[in-house]
Amino acid sequence: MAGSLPGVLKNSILLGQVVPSNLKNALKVQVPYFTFDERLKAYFKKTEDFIAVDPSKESKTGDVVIIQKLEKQTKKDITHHVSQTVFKLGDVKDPISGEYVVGSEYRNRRDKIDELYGATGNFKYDEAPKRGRLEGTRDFTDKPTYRTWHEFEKDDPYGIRN
Amino acid sequence: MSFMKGISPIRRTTNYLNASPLVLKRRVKILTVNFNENEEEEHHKGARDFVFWNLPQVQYKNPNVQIVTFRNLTPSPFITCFLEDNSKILFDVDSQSNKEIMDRLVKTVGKSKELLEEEALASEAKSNPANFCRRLGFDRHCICEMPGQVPCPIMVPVPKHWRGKWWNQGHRYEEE
Repeated sequence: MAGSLPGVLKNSILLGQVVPSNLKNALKVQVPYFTFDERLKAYFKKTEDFIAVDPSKESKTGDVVIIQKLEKQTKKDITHHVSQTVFKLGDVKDPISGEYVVGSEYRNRRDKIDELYGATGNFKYDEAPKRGRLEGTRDFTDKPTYRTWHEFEKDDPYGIRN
Repeated sequence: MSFMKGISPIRRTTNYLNASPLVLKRRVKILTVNFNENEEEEHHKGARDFVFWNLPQVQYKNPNVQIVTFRNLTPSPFITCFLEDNSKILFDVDSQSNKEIMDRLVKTVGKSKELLEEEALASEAKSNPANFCRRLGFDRHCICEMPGQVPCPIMVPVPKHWRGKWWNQGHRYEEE
């Protein structure tokens, strides 16, 4: 498989998004790259999954991270390690201003407008606990979900039966 | 241009793709563009145009750089270059046109024109089939193996009066 990998993926650092996986001590990171179609002369997006170790254990699914190739691979599948987090899902920090951001609005500006309108029951970002508290009970983004068809007595919360 | 379908298909011609002056320096491994798609956000227009018109050119000239776009993530547009030593260079491109962005990138993280010309010359010398030296990857080892040329002195000794040694040792002045 290594022979057919395009040159970009052989770089020492790669940027990717953490994707849900069943791995216990490692993360699956999806790296997007572009391949050139010679006939159409256009670039098409492809993705490649890498398994990376996160020494700080801070990364969750959906975070955009930079993974760096390991000099020595202790396990055959773990090829990279997470070197820095670019964006955290839900807590995106604008690198230019350093402020927390929601879409195309700054969080503090949004809060000020809400205050002026007299909003009461809004979600308070600074008072909310860190991500990961409801994993397994209400938050099912850490492991991959799948469609199930049979009704078991004890339903696996990661199996969707709609 | 019958096969040129789609929006602005000129972007899909080799001439256009080769026309970009931006060849990134070797330490730049990842290029990230953050911009918003909303037409009403005029300060993102330059970044949007850069992604539409210039990003395929940049990727064509730099096939081993990972280029990623992020849409509608932050209120201000910016470009990040991640270097191989894990540091990053941030370009705030708020309200800049795509030409300004391109010039800025060429000035900071692009290889200079002279360096590019040198590299072009070096690559030409490598691929010229008229060159000799099998050790360096060319097909022929010496001109002596071509029919019609002077044969290799290993096989057939060269006439004495053609040798520089004979000429310089004064033998040309000797009477036969």
